[in-house]
Amino acid sequence: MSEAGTAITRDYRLNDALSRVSQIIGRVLLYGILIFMSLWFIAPLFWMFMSSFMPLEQVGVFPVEWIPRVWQPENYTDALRFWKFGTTFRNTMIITIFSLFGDIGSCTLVAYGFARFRFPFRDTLFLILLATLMLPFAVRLIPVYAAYDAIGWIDTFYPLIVPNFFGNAFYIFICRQFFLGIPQDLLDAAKIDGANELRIFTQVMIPLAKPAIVVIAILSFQNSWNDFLGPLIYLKDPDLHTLAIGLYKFTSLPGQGGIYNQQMAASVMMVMPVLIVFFLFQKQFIQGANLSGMKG
Amino acid sequence: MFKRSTLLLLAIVMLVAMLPLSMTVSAQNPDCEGDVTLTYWHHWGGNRIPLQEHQVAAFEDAHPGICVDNVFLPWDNRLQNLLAAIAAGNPPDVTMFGRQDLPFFAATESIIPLDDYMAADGVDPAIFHPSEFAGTQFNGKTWLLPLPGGGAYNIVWYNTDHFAEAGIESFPQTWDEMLEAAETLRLGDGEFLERMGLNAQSTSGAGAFLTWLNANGGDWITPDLRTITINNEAAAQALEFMQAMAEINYGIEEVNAFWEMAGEFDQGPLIQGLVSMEINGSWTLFQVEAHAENLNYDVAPIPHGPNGSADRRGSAHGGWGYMVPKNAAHPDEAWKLVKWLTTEVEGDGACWFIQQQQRPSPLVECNGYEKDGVVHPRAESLLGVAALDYLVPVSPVQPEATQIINRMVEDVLFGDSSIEDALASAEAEIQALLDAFWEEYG
Amino acid sequence: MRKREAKFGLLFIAPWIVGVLLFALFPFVASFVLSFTKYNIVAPPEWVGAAHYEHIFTDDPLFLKSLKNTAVYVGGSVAIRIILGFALALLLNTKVRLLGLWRTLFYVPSVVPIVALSIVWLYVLNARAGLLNWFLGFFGISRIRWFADPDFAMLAFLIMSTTWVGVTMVIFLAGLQGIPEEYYDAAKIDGANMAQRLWRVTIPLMTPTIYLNVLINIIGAFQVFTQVFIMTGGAPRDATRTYVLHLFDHAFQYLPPQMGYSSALAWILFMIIFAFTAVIVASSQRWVFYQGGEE
Repeated sequence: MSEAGTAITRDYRLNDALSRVSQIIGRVLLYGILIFMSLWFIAPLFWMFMSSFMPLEQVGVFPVEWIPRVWQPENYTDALRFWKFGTTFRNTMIITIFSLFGDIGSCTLVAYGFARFRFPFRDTLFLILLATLMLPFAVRLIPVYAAYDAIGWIDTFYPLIVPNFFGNAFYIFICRQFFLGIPQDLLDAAKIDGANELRIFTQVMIPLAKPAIVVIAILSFQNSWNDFLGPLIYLKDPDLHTLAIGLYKFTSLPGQGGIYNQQMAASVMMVMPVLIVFFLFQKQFIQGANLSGMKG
Repeated sequence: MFKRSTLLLLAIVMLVAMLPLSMTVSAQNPDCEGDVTLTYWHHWGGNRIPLQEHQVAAFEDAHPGICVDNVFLPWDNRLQNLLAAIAAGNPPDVTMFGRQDLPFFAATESIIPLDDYMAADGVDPAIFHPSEFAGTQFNGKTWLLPLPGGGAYNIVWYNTDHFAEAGIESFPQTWDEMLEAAETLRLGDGEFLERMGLNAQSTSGAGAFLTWLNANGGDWITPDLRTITINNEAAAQALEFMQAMAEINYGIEEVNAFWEMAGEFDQGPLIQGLVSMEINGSWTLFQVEAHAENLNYDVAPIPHGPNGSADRRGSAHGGWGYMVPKNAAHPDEAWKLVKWLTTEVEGDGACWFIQQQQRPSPLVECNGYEKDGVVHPRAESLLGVAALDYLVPVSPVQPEATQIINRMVEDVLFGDSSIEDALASAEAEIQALLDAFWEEYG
Repeated sequence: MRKREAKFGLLFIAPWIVGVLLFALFPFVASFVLSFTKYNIVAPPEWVGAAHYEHIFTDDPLFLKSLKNTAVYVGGSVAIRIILGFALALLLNTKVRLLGLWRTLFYVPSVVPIVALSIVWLYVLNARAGLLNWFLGFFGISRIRWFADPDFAMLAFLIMSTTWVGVTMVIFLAGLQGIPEEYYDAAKIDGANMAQRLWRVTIPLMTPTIYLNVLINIIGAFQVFTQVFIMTGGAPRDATRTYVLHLFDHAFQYLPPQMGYSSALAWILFMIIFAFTAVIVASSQRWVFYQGGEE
């Protein structure tokens, strides 16, 4: 609120009072909307949590009830009878961690290449990199599936991990922007000290790029953890299933279709790790979202 | 921040962790020693897993030198998984398989015909119920052996308390009586349902329309699987019946909305009391026994339509079986396992596995709803209903044909198309698919 | 020195070059070739020329239907994300208290895995006992049969798409916070009221962010699949059959598998997305304003 703006109204008392009233109304309206929207966003998740403790007959009642009549933590143990949570959790962790290292390693390398070296067709190649973001997954789906089939990679984790070692266009972009912002002086100093390119990369650039790396790690984690279509078509053995597939199968398993409270309990178990990571790294999540919307 | 030693450590951790990637955890019996290990895929989940394990262990005991890697797979994507494995040259030795999926696999010779093995070991087709064995045939060869089965795929299970309250004394025999009963049993305010008499959209196996068409004496496809025949009076009557039933239940949208949360299996609508009559298979028996001891119920055959007859009511459609894929590593041993899973009467094989679940079997000798020597009290009425079963053939383009038929039914029930137009266009559409199939694989 | 630099540069980007050849160029070309073949996985592909394309355009009513459904989803969900996201960001940019709390609450649903979201939203949108019908009941709206009613099923998915508004909101909020205060001060001195300031200052300065978000969300929305696959599978009456679901059915659900046909569908989708992107990029010169006139 600038001085000049308020100075104009200062002399008019009536206007002053009116504007104060309208300001109060505005504030009430503002917070009303904010509270309403918060409820809108949170209610489904809150209900998921509450109904995961409800007895089955309470889940389907109308009007909706929010507090369990009886708290039934055994919904969770019952859900675990048919869902190998441990196995799916371990598999998801394996895929997520390897993908994460793959993404960070390859994307920082490639981004550094684009940011700090001059070579023929560099700008054309960078445009191609951005263009790949536009390629629908549906176009890649079938040939890639057929290729993995041909080399016997169906029913292994490789299709879900290996591609991450070859760079993700979007993460490369984020990282390159970051590298471009690092002052050249730092590199020159290292060069004068006689460090070779790889040493400069690992010992000067990587530590400096930590904020960007954390963002990539978060995005990569979210990507692998939530992936549904990939595991759906590449993994058939239940011992290889991920949490996303495990949860989906659990709800469509014969005999589980109607057991809504256990479905909710299973959903809570899948969601919890993500929410914990989110609350620990909130700043980076939001930074990641920002970067994803601000490219160019 | 990243020291060289840290990087090295990370690399080692990653390499070590990579090892289990290529290994699949399987339920292979650690005690079994043998030269041949068969890979066996099935879809018997839940409380049937221990039964499967016992059955396979009994096979290993009876066949020294053969071990079985027993893999339980989910139902979704099973065909795509199987095709991928066959194409990649590493299929299982034996797999459970839907009879409705047979034509494509047989036409492309992705599986091995069993006739020579059967002849060599003296397995006589007559040990199976004819309607069960019929589903294993394509192009004059036997491609799989059936299990489970034994008919009674579509029986009316009804709540006798509801019937008594509504004052209905005898179970309906014809469609008109069925509609009348359903209307009497239905509860609701004219817009929203509280209880349905019957959901004509929900039957098992064949899909609702084919079930009703069959009960009306109609055949949807010729026995040579080359011509679709649904553009006729019998089919029109089936659609009219479904339409009338939907109207009784306040229209198709309310039927579907009501059914969304009606649950299934253990928590199914019959068990919850949300319907008075439900059409389902013989397996419903165990769900009722296990989860609704106090439910007063009875079973009856599906009433027949105006064009139908009293001796053709239920329909068998598809069903399961076991087969040996092309490129299986050990086809001869695989056949032994197929035989154990589908024909064994003495040891803990086919007969034992089905009897433990008190289900009917495709094997005539084992079809008694018997467990540990005790016959289920309802066995007689269930077998009586099963005797009215009729095999509804499966087309080679079944998944897409099923979608087309469902779409046709919805066109009529939503009032977007007349019955005549809907039948004519669905027939033409499926026929075109069939023609294309036979042109390519015939 | 120059040559050495190029060598190192190429060395650093080598992983991506391999990746783009394997995971972008190869599938891109291969799916184009496959779209002219019949391919059932079991047997090698068989050349059929443009037959699939001909069939798609002349004899596949579900192609048009799924395209139409997808268009509705793209239009609706992009509008929701941009307009609602922008509106919420504006609200949060008015020096509200507890900014971090509101931002977190709005953002949380979008980190929830989509499988879990789909399961929860099946109950939110349940016709008999769902949260949404319960909520609408307070406004005297009688029960809507969301996924049983072809007229409402796609709307249900659009309502569900509000889940991800938090992402666009956070992006817009960062953009708004980046607008220098002097611009507003100058506008106030000129006597501009709130609406005028929004229209003359905020929106023009935000056009680069809006532009990119429209682009990203359109590309994403055209490919909507997972929630539809889990929640309706295209029902009722194919009212929620989206383009990618149609394509997926042909490749992975039908027998014989129709990988070639599915590839043709995928290529048409690519062309559509490409065309949309091209139009938006081309038109951007008219409505996107960059500060300082540079990129």
